[in-house]
Amino acid sequence: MLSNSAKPTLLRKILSTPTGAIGMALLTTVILLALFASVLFPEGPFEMVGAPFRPPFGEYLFGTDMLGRDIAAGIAYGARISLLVGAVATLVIVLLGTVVGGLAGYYGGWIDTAAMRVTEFFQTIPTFIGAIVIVAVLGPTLPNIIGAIAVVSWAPLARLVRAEVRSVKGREFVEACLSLGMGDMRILVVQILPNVLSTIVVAGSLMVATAILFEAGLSFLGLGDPNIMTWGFMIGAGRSAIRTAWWMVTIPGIAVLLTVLAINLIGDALNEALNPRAKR
Amino acid sequence: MWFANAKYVLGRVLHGIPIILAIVVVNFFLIRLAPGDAAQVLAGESGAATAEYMRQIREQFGLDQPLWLQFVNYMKNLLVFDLGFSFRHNREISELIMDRLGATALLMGTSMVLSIGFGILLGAIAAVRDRTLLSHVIMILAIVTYATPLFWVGLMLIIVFALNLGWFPTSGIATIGAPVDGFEYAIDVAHHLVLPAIALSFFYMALYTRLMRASMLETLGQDFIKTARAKGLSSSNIVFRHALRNAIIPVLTMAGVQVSAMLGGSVIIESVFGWPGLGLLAYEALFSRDLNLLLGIFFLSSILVVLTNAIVDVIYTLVDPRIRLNGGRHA
Amino acid sequence: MFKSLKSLLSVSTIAFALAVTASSAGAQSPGGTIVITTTPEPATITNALSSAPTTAELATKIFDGLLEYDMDLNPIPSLAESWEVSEDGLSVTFNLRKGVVWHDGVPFTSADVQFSLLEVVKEYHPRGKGNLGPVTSIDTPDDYTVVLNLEHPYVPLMRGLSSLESPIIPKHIYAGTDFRNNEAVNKPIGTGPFKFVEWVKGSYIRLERNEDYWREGKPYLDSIVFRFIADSATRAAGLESGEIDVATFGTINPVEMRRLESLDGISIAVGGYEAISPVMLLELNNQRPPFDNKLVRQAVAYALDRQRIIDTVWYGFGKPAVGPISTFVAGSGAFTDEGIRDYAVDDRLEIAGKLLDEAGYPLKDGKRMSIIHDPAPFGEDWRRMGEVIKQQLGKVGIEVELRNRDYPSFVRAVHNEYDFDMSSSWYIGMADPTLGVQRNTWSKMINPEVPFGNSSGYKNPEVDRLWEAAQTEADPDKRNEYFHDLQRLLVEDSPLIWLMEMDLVAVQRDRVKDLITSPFGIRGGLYDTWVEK
Repeated sequence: MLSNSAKPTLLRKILSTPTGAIGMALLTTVILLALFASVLFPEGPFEMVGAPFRPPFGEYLFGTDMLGRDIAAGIAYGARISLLVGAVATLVIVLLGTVVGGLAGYYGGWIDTAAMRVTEFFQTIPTFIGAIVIVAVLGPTLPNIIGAIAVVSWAPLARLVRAEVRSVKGREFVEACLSLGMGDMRILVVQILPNVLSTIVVAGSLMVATAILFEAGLSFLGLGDPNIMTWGFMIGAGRSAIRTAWWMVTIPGIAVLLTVLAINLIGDALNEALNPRAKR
Repeated sequence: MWFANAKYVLGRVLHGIPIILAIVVVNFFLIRLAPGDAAQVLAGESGAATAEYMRQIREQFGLDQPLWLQFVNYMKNLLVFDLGFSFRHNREISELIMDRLGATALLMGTSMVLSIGFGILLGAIAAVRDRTLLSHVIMILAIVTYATPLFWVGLMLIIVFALNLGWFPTSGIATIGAPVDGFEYAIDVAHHLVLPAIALSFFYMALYTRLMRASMLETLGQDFIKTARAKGLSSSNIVFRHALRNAIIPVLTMAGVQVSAMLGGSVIIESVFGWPGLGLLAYEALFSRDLNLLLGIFFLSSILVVLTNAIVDVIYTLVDPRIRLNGGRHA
Repeated sequence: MFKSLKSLLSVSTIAFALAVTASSAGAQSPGGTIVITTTPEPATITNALSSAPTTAELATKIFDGLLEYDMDLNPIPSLAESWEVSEDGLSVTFNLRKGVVWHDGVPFTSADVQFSLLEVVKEYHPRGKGNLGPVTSIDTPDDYTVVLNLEHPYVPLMRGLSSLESPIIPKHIYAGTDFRNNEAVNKPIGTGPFKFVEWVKGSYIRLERNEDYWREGKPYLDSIVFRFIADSATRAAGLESGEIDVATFGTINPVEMRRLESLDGISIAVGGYEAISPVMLLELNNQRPPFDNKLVRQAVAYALDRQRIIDTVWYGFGKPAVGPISTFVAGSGAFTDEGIRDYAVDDRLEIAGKLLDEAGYPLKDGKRMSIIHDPAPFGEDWRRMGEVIKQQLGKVGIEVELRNRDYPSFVRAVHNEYDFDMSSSWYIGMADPTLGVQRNTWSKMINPEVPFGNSSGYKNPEVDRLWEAAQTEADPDKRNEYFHDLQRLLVEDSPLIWLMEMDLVAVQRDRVKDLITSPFGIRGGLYDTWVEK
């Protein structure tokens, strides 16, 4: 989507806005935490290091869970998986959604019909239940979970892109391009895509959060990968003790929230940088 | 106009039939890939079973037949809208689904109205008042509600409003033993509906608020709005007559495609609030391998989505006359 | 710990006795409704055809059995007023209560008993073969006498005739029909203290007082509602708000049960599972490495800290199990802890290490072997236990990979395909080891078509001989000798790891009185239960 030469200026543009700077700072922190998890907590996230239900900000920074596991260690290791799940799933969703939706919206005709039949097919299955079925059939491992999230989530984005492309296509400047004899691909990528990019970026940044929450939902139903510590796993596990130990759900919840917030702030900054017309 | 629309919707629905059939076929085989069958679940729940017992159950459920025969039988029945029989529940599947459909429709309908209404309102305000404190507050709230797990919201609502304040019941759809019709019943159900509907709409409201704002900002920056401004139209006129109806399109698209997501997402809300809806029924059906019931729910959901998409297309033409319906062209 | 719990149990037994005495003094007031929450919603509510736990919780209010049992598991009258076992142990005569009518007004007779036991329970109830297997025929000399004829003497027979195990259902409704598809299965008609009123799927089942119940003046309650709520935190909230009066075991997480217990107006209803004798265990696959090696199985038994599992995962709702035969059946003398290998010794980790060395699994880079553990898909507490087991076995160099699967996948992999290393589960030991315990280690129960049998694939001719001898032995003392031998042999061989005797306690609001008055607890008729106004 972004050419290499555009990157430095883009980054600078993002950092120049307060929202973008805050977002970048937050996301960098999460990424660093993920990278240095094994240095900070060499004993791993599953080790029962202390007494259960230690409140936070005492002996352990974020307290311990019902089995005496260090929640701070879980947050650090969970950052790895949550970022991975969010990033990979979103990447697949955005790629599939943009390609299918873009082609369908631009060309119309049988391509549109076929693409819309395929998206309708994926949409008709209730999203969450669809993912549960896929994970139940294939088994709860991380690649299966990411795959399931992507498979059930790409169709709405494709339809969104299609609708936008159709709307943009109807505008005067596209017709002007056509009359100038510009190629389809060129019009689609150079003229139309930038106009729908803001929608894709906003929807895409929300997808990251959805993917992370989705994983949490599956973990909560016992369909997470039990050998991997994720924030979803922690939220799911802490949920039953929500009245006894609020921090078990709240701290990983805040981790999800901050990550999502960071991605959204960056998304907003990106939106403004890419789409100057949104500025007034 | 409405006649053309009705014709269009009918056309779309007719086009939807092959896709619904495709869904039935794929789902039929997909869910049968899941390991384990209904007999094992029933036997497992019993704590003990004999080989004979297992054989009896399989025979009764038709699980001893070859897969293709099960499929042929299923399709034959489906042609006359017979969704089959749930041996687990000992009832017709269509009856089971109809029993739950009302509860689901009520919860989803209320949540959709709430989330779309408030989403459009808040998103529009945030866009018009861009870069003000109000806009920041709205957007931060949207992100917070979006990123908070549904079940956490649900539990917090229960703890605060049902337990601490005692304003609403903790769960269920109606008071047990109370009359089941009339005005009092409606009030009772509404009373039970408040918390789950709010919890379910939170997430989608955040989604629509963000989409609405983005789309509104974009629309406000477009040439025709600038033209309108140049023509000297008043600000509120521009916002309401021109920008809003254009900006609504992505929100409507998203709302249309979120129907099935909402049906799925309501599993968690139904579970937290003990709401006897379809999502929960589907979830239980999967885990008891009541596959025909699950298929029936998927079937219904596919009909729902095809219908909603047709309706959303019609609404497009109402808000943006530049989009023309092209029903019937791609048969 | 062991002793104190034991004494606690006997104290609570006395408390029940007192409570029963108090209630018979007339303190109880009739009327009122209680709401019980249970999970999952049952598939059917006729327990003659299913032994699912929630089915039993409901059906035992609607149906009666021939017998009931006191707290020491001795038979007491129910539909049978008196009984006599023949001297050779080959027939039992029951004299039935007169004047009992079904909920639809039809009189109850010996034909109903004959039909229920022989044609329905023995054939269709998953444990029917165990409870009534040796019953070859039933004679009905008159309307109020039944004679059960046996193939061989069968002591467990008299322990399996409760409404929980062998409910009596109406012949006039079921005879000549396809039982499972009979409409009455989900609109049951019984002779019990409560009548079925309605079942709103996904929400609740409502039962109402049987005005014509044969126990004069009972039941006290006007109605019982069973509510189904999918989420455990919501169930807890309902109990806290007073919308729910009783929550059965497993509906609320143990950690929440402890929190609720500390609140005013809510308490733990102790007891009521003695006749069920629930025991939690780890199943090891004895048919393939590494658990085909007795030394490895013993090492695992040493490596696990049962008390810690009970404390951290189950919040003390249980006590370490000695072996397959639990202290629940101590009353009949079947239990023993004499001459049993004790795995809970101080140097258990060193012993485990030595055993693994000996078995040919030396420590390399802190690791000896890798296994897969499938926690039972019964809820998050079980998954939590899997995590604790993973940590504990890791300490002796056994690396554990956890594999969570949904219920049907789990049953197929572990109990039908025997494709597992280690899995957790629990079994209902029933009032007699032959009825409940035998199936896990008797080699004739190795049958891939039947889940929850001898899935470990354990075969030991001596163990088989002892189980089979106990089936036909008429002398209770001799039977107990066999059981003691089995206990010693099995704990030594360690084909399975018996973790804990479970306390299947309920949580209740204090306005509910006399909830637990029988060894079946909430799975009894609840005709003595009343509410404070």
